[in-house]
Amino acid sequence: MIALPPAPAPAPRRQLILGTAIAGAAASMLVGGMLAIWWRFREAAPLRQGRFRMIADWKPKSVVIPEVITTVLLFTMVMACLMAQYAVYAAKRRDRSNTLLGLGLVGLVGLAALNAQAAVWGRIDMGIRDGAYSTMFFTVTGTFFALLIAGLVYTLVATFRYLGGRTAETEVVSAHALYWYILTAIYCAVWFVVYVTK
Amino acid sequence: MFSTGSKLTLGFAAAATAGFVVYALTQSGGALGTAGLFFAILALGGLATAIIRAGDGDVSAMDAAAVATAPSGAQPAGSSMWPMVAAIGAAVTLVGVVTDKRYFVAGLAVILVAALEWMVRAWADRASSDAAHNQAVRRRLAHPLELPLAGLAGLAVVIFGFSRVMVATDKVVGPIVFSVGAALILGFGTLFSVKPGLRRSLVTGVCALGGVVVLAGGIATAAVGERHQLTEAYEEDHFGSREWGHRECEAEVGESDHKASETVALKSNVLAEMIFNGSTLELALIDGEVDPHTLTINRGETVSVLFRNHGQGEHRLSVLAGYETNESTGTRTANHFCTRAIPEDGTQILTFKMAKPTVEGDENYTYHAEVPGVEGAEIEIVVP
Repeated sequence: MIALPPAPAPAPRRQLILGTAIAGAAASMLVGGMLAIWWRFREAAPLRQGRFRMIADWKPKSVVIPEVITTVLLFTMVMACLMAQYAVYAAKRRDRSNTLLGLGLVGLVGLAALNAQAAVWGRIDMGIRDGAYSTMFFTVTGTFFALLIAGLVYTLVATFRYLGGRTAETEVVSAHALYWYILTAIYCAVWFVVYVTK
Repeated sequence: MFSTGSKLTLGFAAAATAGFVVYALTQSGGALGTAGLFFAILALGGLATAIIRAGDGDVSAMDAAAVATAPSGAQPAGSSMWPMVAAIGAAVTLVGVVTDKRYFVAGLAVILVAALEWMVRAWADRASSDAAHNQAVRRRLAHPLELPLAGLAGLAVVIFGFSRVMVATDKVVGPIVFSVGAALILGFGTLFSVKPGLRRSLVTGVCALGGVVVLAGGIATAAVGERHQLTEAYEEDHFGSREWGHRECEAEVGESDHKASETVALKSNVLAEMIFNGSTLELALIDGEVDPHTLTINRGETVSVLFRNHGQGEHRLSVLAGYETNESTGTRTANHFCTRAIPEDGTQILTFKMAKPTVEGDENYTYHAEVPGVEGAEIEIVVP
């Protein structure tokens, strides 16, 4: 009996990078859609006299955005990207200790970012049901918070795999860095729309 | 340079750009569509960049290291229950957000455990092509975490089940149940230790049966509820440990006055003694008598007074600390601190604090100590 030759092995692909990119695009569109609705509400708000000109009466007067914290959070996200890229740099050189250092710092900086976002919520004197502005505010920032938690889980998994001896698999470290880049880009948009232009 | 995937996403990005321009021109820069299409351009452009950078995800056959380590070339991961457990945890967390904080915390704990287990399982499944070896790797890593947690969970189940049984059974039957349970545990423990040759399955079966009995008993008695003395004590809160508590400060002697303590430690730091002689309440200041009919207390200071009952029958000392009006309902309630009713020649200590100063002529802020049910047995309290 003549046996058929085995089928060729499937062509290897960079699934993690592409998966992360697609998930990142979806997350960007999710937040982007929310920010578009934010702008829509802001545009539809009635006008009132500001200090220098007429402004949209969208954000309640009593609500004060803690801009120092939100800007510190922006720099924190940039730091996370730098650390994630440092981990990629070290991983490609098979430098295990520096890769773990980079991933650990991303985790630490990510926790700081979570803390900063929670501090913004703590400082802002507003309930989630206080009106359209507050509902939109907590929806947008809450979504970013959830994405941040997902980023920390990603960091945890990448660190675990690297600690577990898979030092040759640099793809997970690269994909992890890509996610943090996307997260930082998303926060830049949130920061500009929600915290700066308000 | 432009692979199939990048052409697709670049095409979408170009279409979004065209849509953005047309929408902005025709709709006078309407915020919703303009912003939405702008973010679509960014997302699709970013995706296209990633696809071009990754070459459609293809690994070059010339890149031996990448071919060897690409995830798709690795052993596929086996089926796992942990994703399902994580999904259940997420559902419980969401339910907890709108119902009870305990469900929220429990859901988060389930998600955390499932995520850790899932991560370890996925990692171990690709340790080698040998499933048995992979299983051994997983056990070596996960068992130091799993076994103590499983032990803790089992212990929690036993404690919870047994506690439900004890709070549901009658106070006379409770000690018997407890003794029988302890005797059974001691008996089986002794048997297992003196007969080490017993079949392992038998020992496991007996322990599992005991656990199931305790758990089933706990669930059954939890459904029945606590015995009525406990529910009544919780609802009435005779000793005022909670804000909504209902202290028994009236003249009547209630169930909570049963077996009231009548002794006070010598080292108790008391401000004054209030002595009931059967018809009047007398004040004796420990630190020098000033006015036998008025006790002065600093605002916000926690003070203790001794109550001595030299009258006939059981009496208690009650301190009226003003009134509070509920603004939404308009109802007015009196703030009381009181001792339990004690028999003749008994002594009790009463510790309390006056949060607000006395306001002359305002009943809400005038205070006094009294023996309920005895006309004239009263001492004024002043908070400057």
